[in-house]
Amino acid sequence: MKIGFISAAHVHTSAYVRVVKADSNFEPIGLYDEDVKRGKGFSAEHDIEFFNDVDELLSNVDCVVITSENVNHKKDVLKAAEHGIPILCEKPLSTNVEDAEVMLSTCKGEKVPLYSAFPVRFHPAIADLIQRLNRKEIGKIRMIVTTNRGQIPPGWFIDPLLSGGGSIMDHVVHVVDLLRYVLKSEFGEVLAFKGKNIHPDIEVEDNALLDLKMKGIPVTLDCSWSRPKSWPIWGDLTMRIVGEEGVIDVDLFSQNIIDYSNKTERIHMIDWGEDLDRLMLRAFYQELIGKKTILATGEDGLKAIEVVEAAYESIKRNERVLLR
Amino acid sequence: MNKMVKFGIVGAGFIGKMHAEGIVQIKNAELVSVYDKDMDSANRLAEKYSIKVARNFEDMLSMIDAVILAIPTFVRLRYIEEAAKAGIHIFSEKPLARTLKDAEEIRKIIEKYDVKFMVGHVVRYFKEFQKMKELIDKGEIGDLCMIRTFRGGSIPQWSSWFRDFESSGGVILDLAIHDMDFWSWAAGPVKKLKAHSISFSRDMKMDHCVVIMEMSNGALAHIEGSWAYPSTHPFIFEVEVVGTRGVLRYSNLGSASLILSNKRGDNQIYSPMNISPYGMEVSDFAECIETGRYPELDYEEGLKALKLALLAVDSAKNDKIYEFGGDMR
Repeated sequence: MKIGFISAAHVHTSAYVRVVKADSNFEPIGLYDEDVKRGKGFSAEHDIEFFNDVDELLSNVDCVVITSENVNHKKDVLKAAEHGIPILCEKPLSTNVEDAEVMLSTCKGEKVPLYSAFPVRFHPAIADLIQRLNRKEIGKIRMIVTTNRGQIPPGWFIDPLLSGGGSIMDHVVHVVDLLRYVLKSEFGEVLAFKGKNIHPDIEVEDNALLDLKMKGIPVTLDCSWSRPKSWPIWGDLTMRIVGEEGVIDVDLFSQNIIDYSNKTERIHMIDWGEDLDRLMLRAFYQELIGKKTILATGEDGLKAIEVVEAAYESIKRNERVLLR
Repeated sequence: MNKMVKFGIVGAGFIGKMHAEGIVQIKNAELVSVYDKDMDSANRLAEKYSIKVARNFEDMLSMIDAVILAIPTFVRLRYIEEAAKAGIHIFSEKPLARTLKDAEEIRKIIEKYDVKFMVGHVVRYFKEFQKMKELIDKGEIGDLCMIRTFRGGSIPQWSSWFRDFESSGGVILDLAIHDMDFWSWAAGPVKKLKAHSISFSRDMKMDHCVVIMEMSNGALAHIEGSWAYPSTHPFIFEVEVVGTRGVLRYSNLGSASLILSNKRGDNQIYSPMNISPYGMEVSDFAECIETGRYPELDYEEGLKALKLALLAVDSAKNDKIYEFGGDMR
């Protein structure tokens, strides 16, 4: 399967390129980036061809991965849809519901499959969690307490014109998508609390708590960029699922070796768990050859961005926002 | 030898034992008597510390300067009144009361009889919490942005009254109140509050709560309390405080100096101190009695914590968001 990449903007681009190069199902064709300097630098570093012209790249591939800045997802998805090729788009799918709806309807019209990059669905602990919940190991679920906290990301992530927002835009969608996927249900209510910025010098929010409801079950989510620079790993994704007969504590990025390095004089966490990007891209391939997988769709991406938009709305109106 | 304040303990249950252990570690107080309507419990505690078992509360009052009320919240009022009438200083376990009406009764009593009154929000005497506050006050992590706490384990097995919501107020009034008190005191006042909890019945099987507080200074707090784990699970408390210049973290499991697991099924996490936080708080109260100083954790402080916790209960029960003018500590 010939695969192309649009933009090296996102920090995940290098991981996806590495995975694709190691997967014999894919033949990496090249990368286009509107930022030529960035694109050329990336292509040289990762030994992949650079395309100056997006149309040229897209007419030479069977599928495309879009890892541009959040606000450019729409433009890039519409361009790929024009070429009629299947798309895996980095999260968040868009920065607002309206854009996501346009992207979805265009892809539908062009009969182009659109997928949303939510790799944590592929964590084996999530498959295990689903089985345990199906076996009613903790009884009826009554409350869910989650975190998706990280270090402050670099560059355009903190530029509202390119990112569309701060930690709410960046860190709400993963947990929202996971819980929709695990519990097969939609969020009904969003109340958001925005705290004092941890990094006072940036233009976007970086400190927030969401108080959500799914099927009447309270779900709290800390989506802050609250891991300090000295933190030994990028961040976390945890879920405490409280049932009437027990509790399941899920920690998706706990599978690490602790490296007390004399070389860097720092502590590092070295992940030994499954490569979630590899599993997600394998599912993308399987979808393209007609197999059904758990890969999140454009529709899932839209559902997640609905919660994000409602969170910003809740802060603006200082009240709870109901979702359709 | 210093003059020691003579204490009696009412209630020889879980928390009464903690207080007895604490008092024997301190120099300015002495445990002389215990009273419990369950004579066997009282006898066991008395034997361990070589003290007298009071035949009744009146009997105890004639032996002591101050009393520790280590009995369920909803039965304390009568003891407060009798002790105050006899001029005995009162150390009451937390929460101050189950209802604001009871709290008002307590106010009337202690004002009328002019006795010293302290509420045992013991977390303020935990060295790890004092150290965190000291670091925060020194500016070690800059301005406060996010406070996240967890406190919990299994629903108390040692006494059934906790499981009756009407009597105990559930996990918010029993556990979350500790962290609500500490952080509203250390980082408040509270501007906005929303809470969730699960059980409001007379026969709770479990409970779990989250209290979200927004402080006037812009910090957020996510306070979690749990009675949702099975009895094999240890009691855990954890804190993380995020500031503009760094993060402080504490966990009793992560910093325990002694962990016990045995065939009997005990699974306990300890950091024994020369003087336990229970000893520290009673020592502080004894010093107040000796010197005439008023305790920091007085009626008003207990009332502030209770008001906040009752609002959280109401927020959870009726799914309400509370906003204040900045006067809710």
